[in-house]
Amino acid sequence: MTYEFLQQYWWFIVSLLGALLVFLLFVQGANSLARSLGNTEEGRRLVFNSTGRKWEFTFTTLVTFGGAFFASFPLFYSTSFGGAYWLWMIILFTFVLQAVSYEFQNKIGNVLGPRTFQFFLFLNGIVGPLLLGGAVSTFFEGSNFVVEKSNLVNAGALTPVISHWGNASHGLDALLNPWILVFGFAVVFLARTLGILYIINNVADEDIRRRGVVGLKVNAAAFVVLFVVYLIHLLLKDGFAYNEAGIISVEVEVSQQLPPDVVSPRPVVDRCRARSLRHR
Amino acid sequence: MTNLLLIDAGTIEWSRAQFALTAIYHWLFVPLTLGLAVIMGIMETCYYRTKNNFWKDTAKFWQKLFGINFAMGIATGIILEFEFGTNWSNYSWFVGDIFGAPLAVEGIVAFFMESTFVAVMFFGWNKVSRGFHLASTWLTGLGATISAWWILVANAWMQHPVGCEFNPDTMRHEMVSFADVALSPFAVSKFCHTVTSAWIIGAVFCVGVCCWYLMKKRETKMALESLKIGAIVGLVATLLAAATGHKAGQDVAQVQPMKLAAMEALYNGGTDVGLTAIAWVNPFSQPDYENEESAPLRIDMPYALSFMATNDFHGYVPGINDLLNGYTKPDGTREPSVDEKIERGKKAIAALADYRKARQEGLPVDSLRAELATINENMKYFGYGYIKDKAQVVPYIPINFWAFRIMVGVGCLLILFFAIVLAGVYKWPAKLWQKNDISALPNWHYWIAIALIPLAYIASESGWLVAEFGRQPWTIQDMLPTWVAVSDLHSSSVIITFFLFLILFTTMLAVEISILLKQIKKGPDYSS
Ligand code: HEM
Repeated sequence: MTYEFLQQYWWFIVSLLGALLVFLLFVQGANSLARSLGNTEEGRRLVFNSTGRKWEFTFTTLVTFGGAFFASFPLFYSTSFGGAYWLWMIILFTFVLQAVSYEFQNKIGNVLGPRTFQFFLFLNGIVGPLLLGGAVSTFFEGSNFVVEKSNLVNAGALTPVISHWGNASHGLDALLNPWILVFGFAVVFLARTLGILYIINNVADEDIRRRGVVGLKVNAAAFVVLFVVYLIHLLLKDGFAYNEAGIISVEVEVSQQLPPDVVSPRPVVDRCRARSLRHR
Repeated sequence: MTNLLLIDAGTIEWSRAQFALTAIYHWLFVPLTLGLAVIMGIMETCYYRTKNNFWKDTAKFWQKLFGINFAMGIATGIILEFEFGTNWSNYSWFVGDIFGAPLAVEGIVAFFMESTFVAVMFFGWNKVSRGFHLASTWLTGLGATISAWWILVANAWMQHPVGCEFNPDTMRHEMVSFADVALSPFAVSKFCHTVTSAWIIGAVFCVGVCCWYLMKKRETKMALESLKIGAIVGLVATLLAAATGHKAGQDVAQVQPMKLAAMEALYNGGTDVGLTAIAWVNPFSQPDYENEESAPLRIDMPYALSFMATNDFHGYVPGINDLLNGYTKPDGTREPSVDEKIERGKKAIAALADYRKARQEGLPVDSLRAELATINENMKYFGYGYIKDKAQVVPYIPINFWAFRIMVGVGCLLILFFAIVLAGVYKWPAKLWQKNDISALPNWHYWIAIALIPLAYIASESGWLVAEFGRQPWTIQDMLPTWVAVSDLHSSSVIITFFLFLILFTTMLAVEISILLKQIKKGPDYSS
C-alpha cells in the first residue's frame, strides 16, 4: 500500500464519516423545529424525547470524525482546529450543551429548569449544522493560513509553531464569506428536512405530523435552492493548484493565461500560503 | 515568520490551564462511570440468576444514577479530543501519525459500542430478553473500559514514546509499530492502575449512598445488599490499585526518573535510599533542591525506595541533582547531564535545519548523509534543544510530593475502611458485631462513609496530578516541551474559552449533583 493510496483511502473514510454525520444531523434539525412542530409543552417533549434516543449516534460520529481527521490528516487537523479556533470551539460548546441537556432536562432537581435545556437544544440545532457546514465549506473556499514547517527548527523563537492563521478572528472570518454562509444554511435546512422526516415517522401524533408535512416543503425547498446555488458557484469558481515546489495558488483560466515567462500564476497570498503542504 | 505569530507567553500557561481544567472535570465523571458499571453489572447478574425482582429494582436504581453521570463524561471527553487540535496544534502535527490512531480507534470501536448498548440498557427493559439486557449492561461497561484503554495508550505514549521514528522530510514522528504503541508495558500498567482506581470510586460512592439510607432507616434491604457488593468490589479494587500502583511506580522509576525524584522530593540520590513517609515540603514554593541536602523533617522507611524502584534494597536511585548533573549508572554507563543533553538537542535541531535548507535547494538525500547521521545520533535528546535553562526540566516538586502522599494515604485508609465494612456486613468476627448491627450504628459512622466519597475523588485526581505535573515540562517526554506544542493563539482567546468552560462545567456539575441527590432522596422504584 503506497502513501498515495492510503491518503485516498483515508479521504474516503473521512468523507463517509462526514456524510454519515450530515445524515445524523436530523437530531439537530428536529430540535431546531421542536417549537413549531410541537406547539404545546407536551408536543415539544414528544419531539425531544424522540431525538433523545438517537443523539448519541450523532455525537459519537462527530467524535469519530474528529479522531479520524486527527489520525489521517494531522496537518489539516492541527492547522484548521488550532487556526479556526473560535469556529470549532463554538461547535464544541453547543454540542456539549446538547449532550447534558438531554440528560438533565426532565430530571427532578435540574436547577436551571427544563426551558433552559430546551433552549440549549434549539441553539445546538441551528448553530451546530450551520458551523459544521461552514467548516466543511472552507475546504472549497480556502482559508487564510500559513504552514511553515521550518519554524520547528527555529529553537530561539518563543515557540516554534508551524501553523499560523492569517488573522486574529480565528475562524470567525469564515462567516463573513457569503458563500460559506450559503453552504452552512444549506446544511441547516437539510438537517431540518431530515429531522421532519424522522419525526413524521417516529412520533405518533397527528398534530405534529400535520405541521411536519407543511414544514417539510418549506425546508426542503430552501435546502434545494441553497444547495443548487452553491453547486453552480462551485463549478464556476477558480480552482486551486499546486506546483512542483508545493506552492498553492489559484489556477488561472486558459483564456487568461499568459506565457509563464511573462507572469507567474497569481499566488494567492491573501487566501492561502500553505507552503510545502505536499510533504512527500 | 515568527513576528507574524499571535502567540504570547500567556498562551502556553493558559492552554495548560484549560487542558488541566477539562481533564480534571472529565476525571470527575469517568471513574464513577467505570466503577458503577461493574457494580450494576454484578447486581443485574444477581437478577439474571435469581429472577428476583428485588435485584432488578436495585440494578435499575444504580443504572439511573449511572445515566445521570454518564452524559457528563461524554460531554467533557469530546472537548479533550478536540483540544489537541485547537490548543496543541504543533503537537498534533508533530506526532499526529502516532497519537491520532489510538484516538480514532477509540472513537470508532469503543464509543459506538458504549452508546449502542447504553440505549439498550436504559430503554430495553421488558423489550429485550433478560440475557440480552444483561449482556448490554456488561458491554456498556466494557465499552467504557476499552475507551479508557485507548486513551491511556495515548497518554502512556506521551509519557514514554515508543514505536515511532522521526522523518526529517515530513518533519514529524511516524509510527513504525502499532503493536509497540498499543501494547507498551507502560500503557498496560497505567491502564490497570487507572481502571482499578476507578472501581474504587464506584465502590466508595455505592457504600456512601447505602450508608445514607441506613442512617435514614430507609430502603434497608437494598442498602444492605448493595453495601455488600460495594464493599467487596471496593476491597478488591483498593488492593489491586495498591499492587498496580506499585508497578506504576517501578515504571516511572525506569522511564521518568525525574518524576520519581519529584514525587519523593529526593534531591540527592544514591544507593540504599529510603521511601519518604513524610517531610516538610512547602506546598507553595519550589524548594531549593540544589543547596538542601534533603527535605527538612524527613522520616523515611529505610531501603524502601531502592527496593520499589529497582527490586533491590541496595539499588541506586538518582535524585534531582544527579539527574541534572549526570551520573554513572550501576551498570557503568553514564547518564549525561542536562546541559549535555541540551547541547545534543541543539545539535539535532541545527542539523535538521541544515538538512531542510539543503533539500529545499534541491540537493539529493545521498549527499546529506552527515546531517542525517547527526540528526539520528542526537534525536534522543531532540526536545532538550528547546530548553534554555536546566531548571526548566525539574517539575514543580510540592504538587508531586503532596499529591502522591494524598493518593497513597487515602488508598491505605480505604483498604482499612472496606475491610471494616465487609466485616460488618458479614458479622465477622461474630463476637464484635453481636451488639452492633451495621444497619443501626450511631450516625457518625455513616457520616464517615459519606465523607470518604469526596476524599476518594481527591485521591483519584491527585493520581493524575502526579502523572501530569510530574512530567513537566514535557508534552512528550524528552521530545517536545509544552511551549513547542501549543497553537498560535493569542492568550486572550484561550482565557475566554477557559472561563467559558469553567462556568459551563461548574454549572453542569452543580446541576448533576443536585439531580443525583434528588434521585437518591427519591430512592428506587419497586416494581410490585
Ligand atoms: C495505594 C497505593 C497506591 C500507589 C502505590 C499508587 C501509585 C501511583 C503512581 C506511581 C502513579 C503515577 C503513574 C504515572 O505517573 O505514570 C499513580 C497514578 C494514579 N493513581 Fe495511584 N497509587 C495508589 C493508590 C491510588 C488510589 C487509591 C487511587 C484512586 C482512588 C489512585 C488513582 C490514581 C490515578 C487516577 C492515577 C493517574 C493515572 C496513571 O498515571 O496511572 N491511586 N499511582
